[in-house]
Amino acid sequence: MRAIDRKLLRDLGRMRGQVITIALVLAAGVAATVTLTGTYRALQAARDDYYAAQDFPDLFVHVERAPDAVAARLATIPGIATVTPRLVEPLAAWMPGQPRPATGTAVSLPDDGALRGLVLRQGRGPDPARADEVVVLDSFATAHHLAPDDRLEVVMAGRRHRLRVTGTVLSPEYVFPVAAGVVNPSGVVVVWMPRQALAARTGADGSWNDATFTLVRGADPRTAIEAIDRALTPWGGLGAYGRDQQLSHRFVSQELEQLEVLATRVPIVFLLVAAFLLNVVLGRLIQLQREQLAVLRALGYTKAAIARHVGAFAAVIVLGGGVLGVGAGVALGRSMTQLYVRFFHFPALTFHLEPDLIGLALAVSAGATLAGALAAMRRVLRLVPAEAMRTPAPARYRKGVLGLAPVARLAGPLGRMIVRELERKPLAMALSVVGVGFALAIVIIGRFSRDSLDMLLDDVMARSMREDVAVVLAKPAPLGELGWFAHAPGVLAAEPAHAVPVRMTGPRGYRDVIITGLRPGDQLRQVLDGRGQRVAIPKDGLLMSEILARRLGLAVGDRVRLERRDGDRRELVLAVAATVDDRLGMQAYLDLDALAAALGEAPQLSEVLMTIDHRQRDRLMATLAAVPAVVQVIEVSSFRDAFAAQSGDSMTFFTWLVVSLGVVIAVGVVYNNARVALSERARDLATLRVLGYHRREVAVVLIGQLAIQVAVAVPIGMWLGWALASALMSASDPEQYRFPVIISAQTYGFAALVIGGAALATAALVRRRLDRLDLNDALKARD
Amino acid sequence: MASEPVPVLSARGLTKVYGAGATEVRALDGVDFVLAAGEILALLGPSGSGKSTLLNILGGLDTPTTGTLHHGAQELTRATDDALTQFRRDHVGFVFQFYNLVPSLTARENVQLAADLVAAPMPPAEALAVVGLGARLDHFPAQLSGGEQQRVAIARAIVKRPAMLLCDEPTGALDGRTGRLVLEALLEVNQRFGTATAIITHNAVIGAMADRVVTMRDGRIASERTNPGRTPPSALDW
Repeated sequence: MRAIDRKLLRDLGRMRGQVITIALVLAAGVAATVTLTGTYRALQAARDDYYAAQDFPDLFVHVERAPDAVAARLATIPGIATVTPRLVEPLAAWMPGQPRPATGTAVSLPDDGALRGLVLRQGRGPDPARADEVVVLDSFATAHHLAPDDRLEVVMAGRRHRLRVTGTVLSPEYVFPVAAGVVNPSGVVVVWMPRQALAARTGADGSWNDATFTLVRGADPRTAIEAIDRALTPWGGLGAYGRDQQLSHRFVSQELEQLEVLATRVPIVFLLVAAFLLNVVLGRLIQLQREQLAVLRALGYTKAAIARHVGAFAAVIVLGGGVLGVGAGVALGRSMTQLYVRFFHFPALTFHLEPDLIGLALAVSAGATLAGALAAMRRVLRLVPAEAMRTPAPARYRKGVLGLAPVARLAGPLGRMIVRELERKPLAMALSVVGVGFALAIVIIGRFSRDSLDMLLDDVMARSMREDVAVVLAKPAPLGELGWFAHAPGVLAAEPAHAVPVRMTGPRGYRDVIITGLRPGDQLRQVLDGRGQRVAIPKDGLLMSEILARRLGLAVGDRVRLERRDGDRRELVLAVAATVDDRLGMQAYLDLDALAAALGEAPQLSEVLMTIDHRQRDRLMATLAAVPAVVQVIEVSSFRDAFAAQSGDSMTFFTWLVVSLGVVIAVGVVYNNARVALSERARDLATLRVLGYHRREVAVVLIGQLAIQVAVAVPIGMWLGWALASALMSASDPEQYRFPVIISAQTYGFAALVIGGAALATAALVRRRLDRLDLNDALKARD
Repeated sequence: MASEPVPVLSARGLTKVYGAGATEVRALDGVDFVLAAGEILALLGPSGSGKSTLLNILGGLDTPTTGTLHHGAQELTRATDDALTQFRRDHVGFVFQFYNLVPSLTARENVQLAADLVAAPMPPAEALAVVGLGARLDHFPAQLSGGEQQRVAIARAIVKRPAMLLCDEPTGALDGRTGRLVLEALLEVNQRFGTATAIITHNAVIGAMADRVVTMRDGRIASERTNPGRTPPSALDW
């Protein structure tokens, strides 16, 4: 082995603390990229492959009832490739040990019983010759340990039906098993049976009430939707809608959108921060080798040979950090993907290592590292060897560059050494501060989404949905029915709400939204603005989400055209009375009486909101279960729990991931800053010791410098964290619920603690090094 | 000494100017200089007289502002950086006041570092034996005394079998006894291999071991004398 290579190995060994921490910083950046982007791509590929393989429909429509001949006519609409008419019936299933029934639907299969668009997981498809055979949604079957040949009893069309399970299936329409208000797989039941069998049980022979469509490539869904709606108006069409309104797809897409933001932006932040740190830290490390590199030059080593030597040093770090980062990224990516397997039911969801990602991540880090190392090397080599090797002239300290002279006067000689060192190298000081600040910012990024979720849950769920239970009725009922609910067992208070689906059209386009009619004086549903202040429902005119108004091109005072999407489908015109900067996205509210007047009917209710006496909950549930008009009983707490659990699990993982990586970066930066400072000042400090200063006094010089850097970095890092969090959030679609950028005092405190902890640990290490400082060596050695 | 010395290096009108205008410093001011094959030359002068600047230019570590420097037929003042590197690699051995050993390499490896650069070097152990360190091959610089470190630096300089050895205050950081050991080593090298040796020193006593003594003052050569004979280092006293 050549001596210069041996020098490389020994240098790597001697500086292993720095080498390892720098490699870890790099590994953190690479791991973040591989984990987040890999998981995002795995989910996206799983969804897209699934949809493509199973011909997931582009459009959906529900009608009251239409004859088969109408379906054939729909197929001739330009742009439509296929039409699949079917029967869809709501059903409920009482499962053993459950306090309330699982709700869902029965869906018809083609007459031959083929499982079109479904993926068989267990057993076989139903035999069209046997009227009681069904396949069941796999997530429900798993939750209740249903297997082929088991019996399943359901209530459908007002009657009890005993069905036989022949198999379990996955459906792209239920990747995320969700029914309005229920996001718990054990509570959502879907069965499929041949159409004749379902028609016989619901009395719907020769007709259908639901259809799905695929479009020809390039067809405009809006044109198709309008044509479908025109064709189906006589048959009670409820308005065709695209995938964006399909519940499961919407949940999956929302999650994907959030993940996309994280997957595309967080790694960029990580890699840039890592690149910045590598550049700075490695540069300073090389600068320390100034004299040794000059000796190599004097001996006759060429610049190219020295560049290879320095490059190899950097390459070892890049390679080590890269391999570690890819390994950790794969392991973390697998765990993160596994989290989604619990929520999203895809036939295949596996984390793949993406070579292009690894290439990109490594290229960025290698580029940054090499650039830092080689730039420092060039600075060294630009000096003629003679100059580089000469005892460096005493560093040029000046007084008062940063205006700290008064501090220096007060501080005594040791304090003055600290202040002058900071003043001498304002750029190095600034870079160190920014580096530590970024590390702190990353810790904040890891935690703030949790703060924002807490805020969302607290704000939206607890303060705007104050009811314990929301009862959804099959059809709107006269307001007078409220009395019955108010007197049901255990009910403390009951208030009405009337939800009317409408198509709202403004100058910039239309949106299908729900107008919620509320009584102005009621307490259980409250509209809150962005600061959490309650906004009153106006007596007259619409109160709508600001983002909805903006998307439709509406302002307060404008008149907006609405088309009712159920009932008599009448058109009406209402004034926009106010807009609210709420967090829920696309909402519209109207006074309950004004809504009734606009619809030309007596006040109605479609939902009853109740607070209850929890001791009588079970009795109330049993009472409600017996009422045919009640299709759903939503307990807000379970909804909130489910929401928190679903968002929470992936978020906990994300928090944990990012905070850990942030800690790695923090330690890497603080430690390297301190080590480089120690090397740079070893002679000064040894001189102090020789003069008779105690170890602890000498330590003050170095640790004081470190402490000042960290103290300055903390507020800067907090600001950076806030700025990065805002940048992350600005990418999410505001039509969905909007995460506010909330950073709690705890998060700021936690981030500061992490950095402070890293600084303390580093200070302890530095102190140990100082204690072992050999005075003779430090004064003699010039490396 | 041969009556017609063959020059290894010859310089004419060397100047070196640092800075410009009011802050201009003329470190060298028109120096004519020859280093002959096989000779030992002492370069004396007070601090700031231009000794180190001259030595660095002679060794290709620095370039003059004006003037010419020839190594044989090669004009070094016009040489590229690569050519200067090659010149140092093939012909020059340096010894510095502060040794400048690589702390992470042992004595043998520090010498190896230079040996790796040329086609037919001396075995590193042999070079160390020449300077009397045959028993301390595998010690790290931190485990060696100052004099031993300087002798490792000499071994590192001669392992390439250079035509010339340029030493900048080789004993400057050493006490008298240790300094004499280092000078013995330099003399040994000169006698065994005929290496032209230039020794910078501000210690006039050392001039007695040289064939020729050049004294510098204010960037110029103030005087030059030839000694009748070399005084052995063991007889020097300071």
